[in-house]
Amino acid sequence: MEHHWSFYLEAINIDKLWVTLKGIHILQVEKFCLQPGDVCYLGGHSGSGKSIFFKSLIRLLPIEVQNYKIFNENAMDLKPELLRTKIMYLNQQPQIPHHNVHEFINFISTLSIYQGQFNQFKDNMLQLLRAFSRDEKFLTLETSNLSGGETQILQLILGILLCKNVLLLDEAFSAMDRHTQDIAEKLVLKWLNDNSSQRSIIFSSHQPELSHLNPQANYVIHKGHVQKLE
Amino acid sequence: MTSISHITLISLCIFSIFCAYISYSNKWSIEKPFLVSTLRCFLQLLLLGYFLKLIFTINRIDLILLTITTMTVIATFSNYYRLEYKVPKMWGYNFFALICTTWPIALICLYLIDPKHMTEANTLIPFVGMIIGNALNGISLGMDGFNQEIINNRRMVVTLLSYGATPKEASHIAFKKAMKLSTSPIINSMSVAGIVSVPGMMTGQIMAGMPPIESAKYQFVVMIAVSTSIFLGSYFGILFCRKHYFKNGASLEFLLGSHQHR
Repeated sequence: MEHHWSFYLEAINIDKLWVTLKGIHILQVEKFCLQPGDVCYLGGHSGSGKSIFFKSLIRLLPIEVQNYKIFNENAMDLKPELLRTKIMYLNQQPQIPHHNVHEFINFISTLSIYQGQFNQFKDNMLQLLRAFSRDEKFLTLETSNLSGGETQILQLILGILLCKNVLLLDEAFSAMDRHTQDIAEKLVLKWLNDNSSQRSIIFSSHQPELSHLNPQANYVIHKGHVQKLE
Repeated sequence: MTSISHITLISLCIFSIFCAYISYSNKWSIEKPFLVSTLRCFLQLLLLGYFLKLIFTINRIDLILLTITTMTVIATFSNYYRLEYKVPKMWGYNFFALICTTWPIALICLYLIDPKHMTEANTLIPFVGMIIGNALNGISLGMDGFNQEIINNRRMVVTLLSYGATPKEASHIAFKKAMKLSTSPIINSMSVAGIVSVPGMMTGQIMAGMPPIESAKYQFVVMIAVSTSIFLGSYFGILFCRKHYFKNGASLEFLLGSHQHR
């Protein structure tokens, strides 16, 4: 039954989306479609607006949109914080507050959106840390002392544990070495395949040819327009 | 009380001239603002004295209201131009933060002291003026501190919002720091009042011949009024700012560069 539904459902379906700044359209999307289980690559040169597109998908920026559905739910009707658990944005320079990793994770667990459902994630978190050859000591590290790669590992682990439907990876592995990046991509693919009828990925990378994330759909941003590459 | 002559006041300016000379000889470039502000202070206070004398004689409620409204507007402008990090409509936020806190608090305090004379010009104008003057700094520190925290740590705010934090949760650290920043000076002065320093109003009253115990009581009322105004004024001011940054639930327009920074 679930498989039957997934045939008709689209992970993301957007018709006509604009991001406007002071009356000027700085990003326009005519049509954007993503199927469940698909990986989508978003290309474009530096400054083309990839991050703006990602942020507009999680409604971090003011958008005007004719139709924006995520797994058949109207994204504009959802509370922003609820939308962001369905579609999660992982960026290349996450800034982690609080003194150490454990405190930060505790802070995330107290967010109203996760009340009463975070405890089940803690065991899985340690498993994911081990995949990156880290143990419990990682939790005691000062967040200000984390390297760019370690910060991205922490961001990714939380993303894998908390995101329900779509992961938006905005150069999210850019600070990792090649080996760590391989592990990260394998974990992301595992997350996708664990429930492929309800999950999808959109990623941007400066070196997509080196990535294990083989995209089924390719989009590019050119002169502020998001276009599908056939 | 002995009246101070104008010549005495002018001769006191020699202290300012001496300070300006030290600045000039060391090339610190603060002699000009130092002397200008001394002159402004002298003229403004003198004008205020003559103006209040007139208002106290007329003692009409509409004129009193006009006076304290003008004082609030001028305070708002002065506060706004001192802010380093500005957001659109911040002038309005500032005005509302001041008016919503200082006026009611002043009225409540005056009612508790002496309900019969609370609306008289010689009571209401100096009291509201004193509270506005003191609250101004705290409110501007709080609003500026919040804007600075949010803009400088926008990546952190984005990270938290991306994990599903509400605007309130994502800006909690900035809010807390801004509130601490705005209330620290008044908390410090309340902690040392009477030990390290004798507050200005109490000094004035004692010099004017009021019994020290009575002037201490009045000073306490002023301290409570000022500290509450700063706390609530900063709280409302920062709430308005937060509403600006997280419009329509949680969209960060400032990420696109539409915030104003002097």
